[in-house]
Amino acid sequence: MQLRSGRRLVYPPPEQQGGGHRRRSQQSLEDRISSLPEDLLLEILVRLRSVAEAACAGAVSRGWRDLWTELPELTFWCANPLTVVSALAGITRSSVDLLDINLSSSWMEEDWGGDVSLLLLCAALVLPEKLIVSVMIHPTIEYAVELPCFECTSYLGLELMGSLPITLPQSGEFTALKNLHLQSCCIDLGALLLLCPCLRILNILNVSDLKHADTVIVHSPSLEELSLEITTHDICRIDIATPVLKEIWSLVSIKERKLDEFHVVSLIIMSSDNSNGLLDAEWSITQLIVHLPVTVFTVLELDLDIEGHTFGPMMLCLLRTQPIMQRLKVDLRRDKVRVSCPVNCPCEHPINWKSEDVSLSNLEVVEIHGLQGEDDEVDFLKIILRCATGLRRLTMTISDDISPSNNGYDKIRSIIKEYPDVEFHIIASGLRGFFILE
Amino acid sequence: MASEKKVVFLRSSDGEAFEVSEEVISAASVTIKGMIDEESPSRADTAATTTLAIPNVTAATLSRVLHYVNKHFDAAAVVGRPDDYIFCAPGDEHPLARFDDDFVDVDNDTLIDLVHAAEYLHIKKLFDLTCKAVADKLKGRTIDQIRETFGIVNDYTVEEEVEVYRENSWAF
Repeated sequence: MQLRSGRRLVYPPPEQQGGGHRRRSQQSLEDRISSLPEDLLLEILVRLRSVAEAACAGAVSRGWRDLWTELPELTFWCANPLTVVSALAGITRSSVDLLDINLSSSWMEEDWGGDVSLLLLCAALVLPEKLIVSVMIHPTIEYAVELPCFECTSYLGLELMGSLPITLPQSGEFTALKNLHLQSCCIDLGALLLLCPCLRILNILNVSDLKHADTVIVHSPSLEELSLEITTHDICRIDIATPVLKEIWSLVSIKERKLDEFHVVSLIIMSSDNSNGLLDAEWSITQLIVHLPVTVFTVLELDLDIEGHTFGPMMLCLLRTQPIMQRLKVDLRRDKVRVSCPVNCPCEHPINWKSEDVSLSNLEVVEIHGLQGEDDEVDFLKIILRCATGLRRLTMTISDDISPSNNGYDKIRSIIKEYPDVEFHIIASGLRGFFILE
Repeated sequence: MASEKKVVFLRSSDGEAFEVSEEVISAASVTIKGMIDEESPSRADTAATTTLAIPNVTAATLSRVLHYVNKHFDAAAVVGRPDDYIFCAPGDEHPLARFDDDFVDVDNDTLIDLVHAAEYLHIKKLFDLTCKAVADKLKGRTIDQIRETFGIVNDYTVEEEVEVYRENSWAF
């Protein structure tokens, strides 16, 4: 390329042999940019958002030469992890605010196994406050990626295409880590969380657990926000225990399937009872709902293991997310000897749930099994009948040790009478099998 | 006290005075807000309008800065919340995105004057905008194009230049 100065832009630079002689540019412009103070020039170079471009710019003149090594934020876009490793070796700052490494390639890199471990190790040496590593290259061989301990890092984002198994550091803790984002990783999540004493936000997208492939276990005493999304494989069990999140319901299983024109979602929810700490717990089924892997469906099947809790408020939360729902099936599991929940238990919030409305105009068919004639069941039925204006059929299974003289049973019968347009089926269940009472 | 809109005058390095709403400039510039706060006790019961000397900024630059400030920080003029656009994705069209683009579509000297002024006056959004605009002029250019764009004299010896390329070969 022929340039105005008459020199060619090639590497290595042109063939002149003249030792120390300086070339003169014929520019008549005043060089305002080079006379900027170093910190201002760095502010500009940072906004290139590319360490490579900043390093290249170092070739324009002496004053620019090593500026890039002082960048507080380092962003890499490249195909080879060794490039990043070389660059990081040149960094002179004692710590950096941001290290953002994006590896991607349109072709397969040959034999780069182990380099991601080396890359992470080098990343740890520059003590990043915020670290994002995104490897969008499929590994050609399977190997374990060693995660070093990022003691000073408060934000860690890790995405490893190919779900290589990640091994945890032998020693040390992620003492500063508040924000953890894992995507396409295969890691022992339980053990990792034990190393993160201050973790506040956890974001999981398609992470598989090294130890339990079909389980997600999140136990963290400090966690305040959790987002969970698994679309790559089936999860049989989600176990969330975080006192600050204060879940009282935990989602045990989610399954979805297509059945004719219906999109069916089946949930198993159980009370994650631990008697202490429950009194001041906050209602948070909504947090779980927000992160359901399926957002729109027309059939909901629920298996509720609710112990002594009131399930109505949680059901209302769930139902509100699906105004287009057409069919609902609820299986209640309650101990026969009901242990009542503590005074002011969050399961009863909002206190006025019985008078709340929920839009269920598409709901046509409802089945509720395992009724025991409890007050909260009666209240829930009232809401369903009041709000599901298009309801055609309601089927209820009542536990067979509830005698027809039971007060709750009477209440259910009396509500039914108020809705002559709905077709009711009441079934008594028990060891003797089903029989239809009415 | 008078609830009418207070104004202050800013005097540029070359002696020109510009009128601006005290509320608007205080919201925009940390430096000027500091100056006004310092002045406050002495002017509390005088009706006199304050004139602040801005010794580092010329009239030409100051007038551009105030144009920006009035667009971005005058609540009456701003459509939507003034800071919203920071969170917009690049494709999102913020009412002021177009204004910002045009604002930094200026020659290098003007742009660098604006960087200096934004830094001195401590107007973060303007500083971000102008630094980014300078970076955009570097981005994707060859070394010689950068030198040419900004009038940078290559003061490397041939040996040094070879060394720089060798050292940073990973980057090229």
